[in-house]
Amino acid sequence: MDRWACINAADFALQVLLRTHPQWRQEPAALLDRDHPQGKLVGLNMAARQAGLHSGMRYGEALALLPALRAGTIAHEEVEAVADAIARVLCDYAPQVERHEEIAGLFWLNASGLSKLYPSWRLWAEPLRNRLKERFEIRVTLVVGFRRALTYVIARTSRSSGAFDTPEAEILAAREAPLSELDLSRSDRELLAHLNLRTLSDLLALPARGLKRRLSPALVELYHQARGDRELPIRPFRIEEPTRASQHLDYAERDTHRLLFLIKGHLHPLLQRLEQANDKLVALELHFELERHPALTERVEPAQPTLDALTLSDLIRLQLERLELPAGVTQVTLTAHSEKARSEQLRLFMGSDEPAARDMDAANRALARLRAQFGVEAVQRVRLRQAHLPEGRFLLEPFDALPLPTASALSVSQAVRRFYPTPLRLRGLPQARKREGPHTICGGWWVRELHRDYHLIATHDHRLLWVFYDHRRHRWYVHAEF
Amino acid sequence: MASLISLPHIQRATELERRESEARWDLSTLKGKLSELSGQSAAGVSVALRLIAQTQRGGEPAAWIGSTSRLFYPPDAVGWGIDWEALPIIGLGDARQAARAADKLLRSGAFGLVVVDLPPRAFVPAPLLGRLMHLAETHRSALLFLTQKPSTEDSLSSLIALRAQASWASVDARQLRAQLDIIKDKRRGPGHQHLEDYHGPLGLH
Repeated sequence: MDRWACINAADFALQVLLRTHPQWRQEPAALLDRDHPQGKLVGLNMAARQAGLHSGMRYGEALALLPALRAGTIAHEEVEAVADAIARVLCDYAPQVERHEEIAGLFWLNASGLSKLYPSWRLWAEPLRNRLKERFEIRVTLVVGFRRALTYVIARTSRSSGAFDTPEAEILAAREAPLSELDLSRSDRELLAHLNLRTLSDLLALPARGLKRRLSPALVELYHQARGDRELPIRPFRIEEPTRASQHLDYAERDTHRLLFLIKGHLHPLLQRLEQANDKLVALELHFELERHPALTERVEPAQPTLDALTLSDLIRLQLERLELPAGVTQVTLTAHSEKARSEQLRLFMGSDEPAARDMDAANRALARLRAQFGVEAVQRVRLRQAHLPEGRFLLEPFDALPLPTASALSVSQAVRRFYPTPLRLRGLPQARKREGPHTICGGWWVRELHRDYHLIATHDHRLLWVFYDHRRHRWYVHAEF
Repeated sequence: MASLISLPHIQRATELERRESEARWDLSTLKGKLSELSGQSAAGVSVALRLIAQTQRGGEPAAWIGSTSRLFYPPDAVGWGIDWEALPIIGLGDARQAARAADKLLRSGAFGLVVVDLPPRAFVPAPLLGRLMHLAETHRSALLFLTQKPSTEDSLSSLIALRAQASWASVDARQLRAQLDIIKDKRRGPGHQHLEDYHGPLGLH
């Protein structure tokens, strides 16, 4: 089972400001959005709050109430730099670390499998908190739970750290979280107050139906994440800058074979650099500067993080074979994107499941070869969706990795038709042995008016055609066939 | 002298085999060989999707190779329990390219079933089919070609071990019965038949 730790540094920007003014810690202190009497208070320490100040107040107004108030501003870059430094330190404690993209001072650690190394979560979490406090003078709340969204809710609203032993305990604690302390917009807060929704439990008590029409997208997202319908997207923190190698050519090279050998010459040193940094390559970007033409960028992605030059050379060769250069290449730049958290490490930590009968890594390697040879759009998968028109009821979309199938039991064995997304025009309607319909689909007058009468036609040669009459074009089409 | 085979108590080996496994058209029969499912209707599509669901239920990946301009209709197959996340659709309309893609997938040894939906009048070179046969045998994978042709036309190649002609035995909008006439079976001999019942479309969709 997945274990996640969420680390929240409350009023992170203010804590960073107080690092530069340690003498302010004992006094009422505030963070301003700009250094001006009309500047607003955006962060307050406990002493300032106790003195009656609150966020959003003007600096001049606050100073009139509390002359001893210490206030200052801090550059966004400085706050980001401290957050990055903390993320680097956190990499020593877990194989996968994430930094929230918008909220500085909010981090997740993938703690799956660490229970095998630490008999108690306290033994893992306490040194971590102490190190952050000693090195950065930042106080944090650390929550170890099972779901990223719930650990976020609890860490953001709670003042005490802890670990949950069961998912049920985590859900119970999250349900008590006050919504007013979450990172919601002012209008959302006002709406929640108006609806008398105080805690997450109140929000979850709402029926899911019609929620989109009544609440903002942010609140709907929070609702679904808290219910477990969706999970926060994973965005790992990357320490290293992409590794690059570049070569300027004295002549314009058009031959892809010679280009391949030129790239291979740079590939080995590039992989050596990654190996020295204990990283693996997840994607290789090939940037070609062309003579009197716009530059071209190709991306090669192996099925799994690798340092195998042979696999990469093969993928590059396949990709270059289908590349049509409109002009000669004058400069080649290789950019290697690497991964800090290695999948093998994570698998080791999580304790892998039963080995699969088929090698999924090999399947993904084969698909990566197909992508390289026929293009990314050649390898897709189906996504079903709700739509008015038959052709809109599914979508083909590219994907990264093929999981092991988990097919569910057969419920209905319905015949599957062969479908023509672009309907085939019928010159004449075939003679029907039996006919069913019409089933009418119409609408779309606001964009492109549509009126189709669908019929199922059983022909004399035992075919079952799904045809429609387009009232706009006054023509018959075959849309599918059984 | 009377032929031994004509005697009533002596049976051909192919007849014995047929009795043991009564013309099954499932994954275990198709594994390790090249098969062809031809037909003028689209009955073969339902049969192929059933095989994909069966492969996935066995914990093995399956893949579909074919043109996206004449694909199966996924909303129909919702009741099959297919894991769409784990079914790669390789959108290639050209028969040779499709066969080459199948070669790459089978070579990985990771797929239990690869369905290649060929366009009408498709041709796949014999050396390529020879490689595919060898790979299917080595990795115990099933490679199924879907073709559009009448039963009187030849199979894709002499390397096809099993060929069935799919048609609808009864065409009722509510209940469809697929009939698979085995017209080539290198192991059991041709001539047997297999029937599968499917529900017809519910309402419009």
